[in-house]
Amino acid sequence: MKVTVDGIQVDLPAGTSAIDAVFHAGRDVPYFCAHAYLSPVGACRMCLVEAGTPRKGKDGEFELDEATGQPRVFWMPKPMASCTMQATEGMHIRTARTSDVVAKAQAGMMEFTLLNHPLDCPTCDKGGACELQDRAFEYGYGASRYGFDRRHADKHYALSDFIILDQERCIHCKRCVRYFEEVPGQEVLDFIERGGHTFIDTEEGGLPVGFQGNIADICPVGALLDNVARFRGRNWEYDHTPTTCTLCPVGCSITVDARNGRLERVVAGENRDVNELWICDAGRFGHVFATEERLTVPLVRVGGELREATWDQAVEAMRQGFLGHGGNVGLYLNADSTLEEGAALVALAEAIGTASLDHWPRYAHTPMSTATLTDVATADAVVVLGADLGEEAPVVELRILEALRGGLLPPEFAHGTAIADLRLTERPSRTPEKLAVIGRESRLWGHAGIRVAASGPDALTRLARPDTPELQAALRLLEGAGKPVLILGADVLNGADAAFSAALGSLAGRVGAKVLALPAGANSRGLGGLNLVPGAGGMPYARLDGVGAAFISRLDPAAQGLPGRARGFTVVHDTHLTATAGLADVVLPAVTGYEKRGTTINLEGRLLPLTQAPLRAGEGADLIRALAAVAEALGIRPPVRGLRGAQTWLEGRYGLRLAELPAGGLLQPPRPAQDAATGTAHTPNLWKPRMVPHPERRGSGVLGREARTELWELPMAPAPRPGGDD
Amino acid sequence: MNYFADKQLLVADIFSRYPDSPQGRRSALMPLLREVQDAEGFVSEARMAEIAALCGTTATEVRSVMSFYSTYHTLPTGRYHLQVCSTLMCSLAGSDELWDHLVSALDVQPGDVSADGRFSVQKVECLGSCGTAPVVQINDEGYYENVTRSKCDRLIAAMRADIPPLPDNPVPVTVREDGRQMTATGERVGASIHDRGPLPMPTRPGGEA
Amino acid sequence: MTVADPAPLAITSGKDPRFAPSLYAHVGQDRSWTLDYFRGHGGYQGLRRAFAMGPDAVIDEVKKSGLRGRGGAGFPTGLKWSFMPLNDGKPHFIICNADESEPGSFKDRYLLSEDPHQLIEGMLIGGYAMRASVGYVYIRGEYVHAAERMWAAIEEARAAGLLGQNILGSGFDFQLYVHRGAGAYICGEETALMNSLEGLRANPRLKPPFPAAAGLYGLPTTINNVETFCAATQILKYGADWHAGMGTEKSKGMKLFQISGPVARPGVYELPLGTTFRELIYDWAGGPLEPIKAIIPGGSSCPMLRWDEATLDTPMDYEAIAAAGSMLGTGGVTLVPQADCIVDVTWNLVRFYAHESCGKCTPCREGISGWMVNMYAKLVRGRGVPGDVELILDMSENIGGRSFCALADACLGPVLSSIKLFREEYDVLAQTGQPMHPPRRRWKEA
Repeated sequence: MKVTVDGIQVDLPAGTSAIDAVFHAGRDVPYFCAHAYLSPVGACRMCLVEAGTPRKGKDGEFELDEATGQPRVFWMPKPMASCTMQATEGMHIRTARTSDVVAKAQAGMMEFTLLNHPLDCPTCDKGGACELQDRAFEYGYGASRYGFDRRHADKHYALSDFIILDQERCIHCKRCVRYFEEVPGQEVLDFIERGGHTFIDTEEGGLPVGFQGNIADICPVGALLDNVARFRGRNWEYDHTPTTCTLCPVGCSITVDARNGRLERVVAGENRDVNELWICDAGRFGHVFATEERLTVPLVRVGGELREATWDQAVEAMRQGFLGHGGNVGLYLNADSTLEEGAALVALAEAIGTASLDHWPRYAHTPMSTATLTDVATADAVVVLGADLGEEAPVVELRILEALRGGLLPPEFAHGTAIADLRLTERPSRTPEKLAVIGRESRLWGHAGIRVAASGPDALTRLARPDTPELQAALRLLEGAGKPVLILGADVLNGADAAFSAALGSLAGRVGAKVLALPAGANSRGLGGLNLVPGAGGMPYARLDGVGAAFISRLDPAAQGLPGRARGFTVVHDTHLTATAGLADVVLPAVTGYEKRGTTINLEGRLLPLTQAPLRAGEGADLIRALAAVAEALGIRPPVRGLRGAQTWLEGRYGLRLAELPAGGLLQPPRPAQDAATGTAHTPNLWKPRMVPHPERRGSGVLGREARTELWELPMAPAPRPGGDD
Repeated sequence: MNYFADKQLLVADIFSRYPDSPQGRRSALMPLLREVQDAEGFVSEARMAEIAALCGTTATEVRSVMSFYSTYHTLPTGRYHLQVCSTLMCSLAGSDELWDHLVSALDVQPGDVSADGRFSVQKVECLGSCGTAPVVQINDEGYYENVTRSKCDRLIAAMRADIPPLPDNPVPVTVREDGRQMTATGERVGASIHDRGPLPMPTRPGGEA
Repeated sequence: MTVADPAPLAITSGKDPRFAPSLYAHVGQDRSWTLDYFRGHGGYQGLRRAFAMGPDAVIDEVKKSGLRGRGGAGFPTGLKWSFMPLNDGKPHFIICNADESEPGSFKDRYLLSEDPHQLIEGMLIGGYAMRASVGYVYIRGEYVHAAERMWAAIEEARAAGLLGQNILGSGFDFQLYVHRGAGAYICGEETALMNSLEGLRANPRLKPPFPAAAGLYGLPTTINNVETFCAATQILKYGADWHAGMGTEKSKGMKLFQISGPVARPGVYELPLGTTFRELIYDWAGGPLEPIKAIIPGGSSCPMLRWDEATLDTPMDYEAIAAAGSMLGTGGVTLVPQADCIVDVTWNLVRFYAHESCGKCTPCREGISGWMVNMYAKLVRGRGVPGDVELILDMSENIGGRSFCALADACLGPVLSSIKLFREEYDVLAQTGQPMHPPRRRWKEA
């Protein structure tokens, strides 16, 4: 399909919106309501263009212009919103670059948009990264002719503990309302009143925690703000570090915004294959641990008490502590560690000759996963077995909901993801009958057409040989589908073994389903693939009291009710003084996932890069460097000494080339992981206590709901009243 | 207390008008709001939540929809809620003066209820009574049309005595048996027309005109 | 500025001897809303004829009659009906738009309350032709009396087997329900009406898809005005040729004209399309009661026309009024007195549109509901300054044709036309703060 934009001809697939035609041609129109992953609504009226199409005559051919011999273009009588107009064969489009009508229309519309928008950019968190600010500069008149008082309303209205609404700044683009309806499928935010009195609000006593933070990202103005990051810095002061979230195995793309060495804000990044543009609230708001109460120097136990020390003193203390334990040393790390860190640990364990190495959390046996997140989003049937996605892998829930509303993945153009996918509609129809949830009740239940209460790994056996009508329906759903996906979570995986895998393989094979077994930890799939599990005679994590000396990186067994010390000597490497660190002989300061370079493997087997954000971490060291110190204390030459060395080791042993990953990551074929007993079960829990933000502690606290409601009554004139003389 | 708990038949009747689907259930939202308001004079937050549950949606959605329309109230109204049309055709017939007269005579401002609980007032937009302007609607009931000052005073007196007159629904122009239009007072209109014929015989089923 | 009150000229109305009121034939008669009355006066004969013809022939008959939508847009009804898909296996809906909210329009109210069976018959005919199984009458919330009469008539019809299964042995099944609005002018827009019927905020929807493809609940739907359905009843009863024989070449049939403002006999008059303003105003409505300066020809959104000989001689049909620079709209004619300030009059209408803006799109929410209404308030309160009128005109250019639906354009109808016709009044007010026509008492004592 040929479309001409400002004289530039572009070739586009049928169904493309005019706005995407404009951007694909390298031209520009301003827009506020359109959004790549939301339905186009044509509300803001900024993306006006002039459009004309050729007409077909009676002979079925285009009518030609006699002078030029080209098809004659019939221009529409008024400018059209390009986000809701489909480009058609032979269409001509004029933007403000070539049309004075469009330029005036857009400047006029900008004036309307800014009519009631406050001029508080200097104190607005969005300033410098504000679509309205940028577009007003590019397309506006530069001054308003509106000679009246602007609308006044509550500027500090808390929609939840995490999101603050400035009602004056809202330009009614409806992105946030559409987001909740279309993405997480929650009718929790909507417009109240109508006309010039319209404002957004929730009647649910606050937005539900889960995916609410995304509205702060998509708000084109400073109306919806991240309360955890509120007033913490200006956009141009932040160091923006694009990286991968390591809170769960999804591996969402995020950007870490730091200022003066403090992590102030996390915003979502786009990865079309993984999280599209959405992240969960834990990933967004649960970052405060990276800056609060960090351990910045090593600690050494002297006279029964942990005292601050230098790294040299810590190495010396370790040298003495390890004496006499020989190879009876256990090495344990958190499953959110990078592949490179895992490689360093495996290499060191081999050098020491210990079989006691482990990562946590993990399962004793993990069935092979074959499904990608795109498979989930485009599945025609999804059965979720024993998973609480909200705790295990929240964004998977969004991808399932995407499947239920048609599995329409937005097309891609020269400028990136389509800005207006005309197949998406407001209040989309959903197909709950395509989702069966078997397990404990979770947030996903509300969206599922088939719900079965069950627990434990025998849920799979019951699905394969259904004993209730609901289970029969779930099995029929799988059998009748063309590309079903089976998602397995902690409740079934905790007790899984080889027989389970065989049963799963047989069922999946019979119904043609792809399988997605949610790994227990962010990089469990990667670390499992390195066989970072106890070897013969080795002690697993839950039995670390069975080793003579232990090195424990960023794990807190004592807080889990597990043994917190090795029999003899214990070194803890962590970012905070945890319960386990409090029991240790030597504590080494660690860095968080935001401060690492390296690579992680997400639940679908995708290699994703981690980038280091400039956070103040004192003398904190990543695991590779901490292990080098351990090696030094043990008197051996560390086999892997840096990131490059770890990557070389990984390439040599597994053929992984991590130095040159594409931005969106790289899918790896599944690698069988060795089975190893864990000695304890994994209970998924997304929000760790240190992640919970306390906005009031950060100086941006807001009023409680009662006080808010009172405030709301005063400035917002028309609470619906009987009468109302306006 | 649950308003619809003892009104299962009514609720079932309302739902029966719409398709048996989630979308169809949602259609009952406005009729249910109307039921509550007719009974209680306004719709409280508790009722919104109750209706949300019935329609399979959230209180947010109910409040959103409710606040969109101008005839639902979230605050109690007087026993007589007077709605005065203020749009041009009534305004040309003096509705602004009518409004001022009501507000001062009843001593009540929009948004308030008079001290005796009887009266609340609201300016509303065109009620579709332009030929019989000005018009006052009382509660969610009938119209009082051609409201002159003396008629207005009679209405107020009647309501104060709690014997409101029945709404009038005058038809300003009617058609006589012979097809001639005339005003309600019997005045003939279209006086210049002399050669009007009657309507043709209805065509028979299947037959041509 | 004064306009001479023109003397009435020769009257030409009703010259067509075949014309006699049919839509309004029973309005105002004793118990005209009952099934007994309706049946006793030829009721449900059109439906029987429709059943005998078959659905496709009904659509052809309506096409042949030349009937155009009476809600304001004037789209050919038969063509609209033919857009409904055939044999697609989906349920079809028809909706009667009885959300009569355009200021100056009050015809449907009497059709609903005085002759509900005429509408039921029309909807049965439409439903039969368009293969619909369910119909809704969306009545504006304030028409309580009309809704009650409509419900009662539906119950009567259902009890008599005129609604339900296998109606009159035709094999046609049809259910009809009343859905009451709750006070929102925008519900007159068909897609907003469908949203309202679905229990949503009445924001207009994107088109395409058009309602005939995906309307109510995403299913094929056609929406017609009350008068349109009632006209279909008469067309099926008296034949397409009878209907096409009235009116003008392109505007066929009869129309319910409404007249309000200072006129001797305000009300609803059923006249053939093409009747002149002069005939309506003088011959039928008894002439103005005071000097007039403008005519709002078809509901408040239609641009005002100057009160002069040319306007008075303009035939009231779709084409002639368009040629005069306005629209036939709903046929609701309002006379604007000479003695009233045109800026004040227009402000009243701007307030209406500002109040009724749904808030979805920027030019209407901010431009009309925010800015325009403030500009008028400022002018009328005597705080205008030179340049304000130019600003209103420039702002209107940025609103007109830029909004999501036609509501913003509807507001510009009176704004632009009043400035064009009575610029002097605006300028004097903006420059001196004093209106040329000061406020006056309008309320009648008795």
